[in-house]
Amino acid sequence: MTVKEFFKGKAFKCIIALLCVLLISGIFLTIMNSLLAVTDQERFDRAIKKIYGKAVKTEAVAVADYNSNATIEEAYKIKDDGNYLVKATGKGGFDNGTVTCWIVVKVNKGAVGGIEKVVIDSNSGQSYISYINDKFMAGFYGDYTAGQYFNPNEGFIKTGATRSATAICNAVNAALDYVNALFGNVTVDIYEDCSYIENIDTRNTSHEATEEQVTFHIKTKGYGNAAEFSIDVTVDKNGVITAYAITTDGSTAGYGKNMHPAIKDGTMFVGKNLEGVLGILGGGVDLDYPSGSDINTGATQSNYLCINAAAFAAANYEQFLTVEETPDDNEEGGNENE
Amino acid sequence: MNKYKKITLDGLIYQNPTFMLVLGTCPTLGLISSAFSSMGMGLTVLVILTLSNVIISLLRKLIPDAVRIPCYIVIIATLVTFARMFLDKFLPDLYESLGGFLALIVVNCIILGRAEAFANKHTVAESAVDGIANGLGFTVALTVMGIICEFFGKGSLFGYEIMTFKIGMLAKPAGAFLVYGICIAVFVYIIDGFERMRRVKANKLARENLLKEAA
Repeated sequence: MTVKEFFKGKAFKCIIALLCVLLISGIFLTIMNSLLAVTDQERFDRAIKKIYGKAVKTEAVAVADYNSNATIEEAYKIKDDGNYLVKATGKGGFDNGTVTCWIVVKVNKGAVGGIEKVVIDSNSGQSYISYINDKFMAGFYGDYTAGQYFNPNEGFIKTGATRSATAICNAVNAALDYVNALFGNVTVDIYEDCSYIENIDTRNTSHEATEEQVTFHIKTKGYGNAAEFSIDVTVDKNGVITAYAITTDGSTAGYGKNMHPAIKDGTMFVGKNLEGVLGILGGGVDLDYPSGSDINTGATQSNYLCINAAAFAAANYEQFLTVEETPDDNEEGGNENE
Repeated sequence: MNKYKKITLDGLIYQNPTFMLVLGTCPTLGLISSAFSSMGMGLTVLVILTLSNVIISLLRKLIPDAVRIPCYIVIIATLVTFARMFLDKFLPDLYESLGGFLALIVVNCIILGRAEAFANKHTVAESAVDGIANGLGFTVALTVMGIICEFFGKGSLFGYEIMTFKIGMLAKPAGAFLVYGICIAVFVYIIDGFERMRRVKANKLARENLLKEAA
């Protein structure tokens, strides 16, 4: 075939036809793309409108984290009403997953007034997230009282997605802490500098102390498939655990029955100090996750959380023991006043 | 019968792409759990089908036979991309509700089928009417099924809650499949009924004419 024949042939005609269609399509789409492209600002405005139900003017606010259970991703002040819109990612979801939410924090007379709206933005690995409905979200709405923290087990309907609900509550609590901090009301976490707090929900943990002993009301975080445990641990002034009781069993899907019986009734910890508790996991200073030990009972994650709670109590009791005031102290105080 | 009337009736009823030809089942089953989404999908297909029919009919003498299918695909893909841009810009809610099914219109059998079976053999006006008729047939079918599925599956209509009683399965593709089958059966039964009546009427007329001639 000569060059002339090729240019007169059917193949050339086909190539030209196809190229022309492609070229015209390409030019058309390029023009349309420049005319119809949606900017990032437009997308952001749409997201805000979806949450707010109307278009509002916003002003970005610098983010900071005041709560270890969640991360503040973005925050905006709504110029129209002074409320804050916070995007927070709550930890502690199913299988250590997270849920990211947009939270509208109502502001009333220069302080946090409550939660106006919570909208789920995205999640990681939360297969039951669709169980979270408007009725659950309604549990967040209402007036805020100082120091209030949301807990999925109190004031919310049961959804069947407890772990995802926990992550959402963590996100909302973090948003509240963040906005509170913006108004100068930084919530002090007294357990922040304690040891072995990785799996301890320090915001929901409390203690009662005397000169002789400290009783911790510990709330753990979820770990893997195990949800939060509530455990009361009493440690005497010598650092020995004298009482250990699980008040809320966080084992899920019936795994509770597989827990180590001595952990479940607390006898494994009573009479032990920190060294003894760490000895359960092999004696290292780090709280290593047990592998190949007699703690691997089929509910290892639950066992691990319980050991973590015992280690937390035994390691930190000392700083919370009440110190008896001596007459010398009073005298010194008196002298200062003079 | 007027040819435009015939094209219209074929697209709407006798060769309805959804109920008679069972084409475009992927978006049908995926979207009919919501009346809003199914109507949106139907209208989007109507516009793309009409435009693709018109463009292909216009170019039918310029596009060589050997490359007609690639050319049709490029034209349809261009129109679908344009539709996506348009919906994303002006109707973001619909764009989100259609999701991946919007891009899948490129491989929708109805559009490529009408291009190959009709538009490349007929005039621009006829192709436009065929596109509108088939698009309307698809839209009406999807919307009717969407209304049924949303009403019984979610207890709502176009997003507005109407009743608390609901059959959850009907809001899912499995339920949509069931509704789709029932709708096809009812549609074919009605069309058959009309056809029978028409035949009986025609036979009666022919008998009367024969009797008249014999007399």
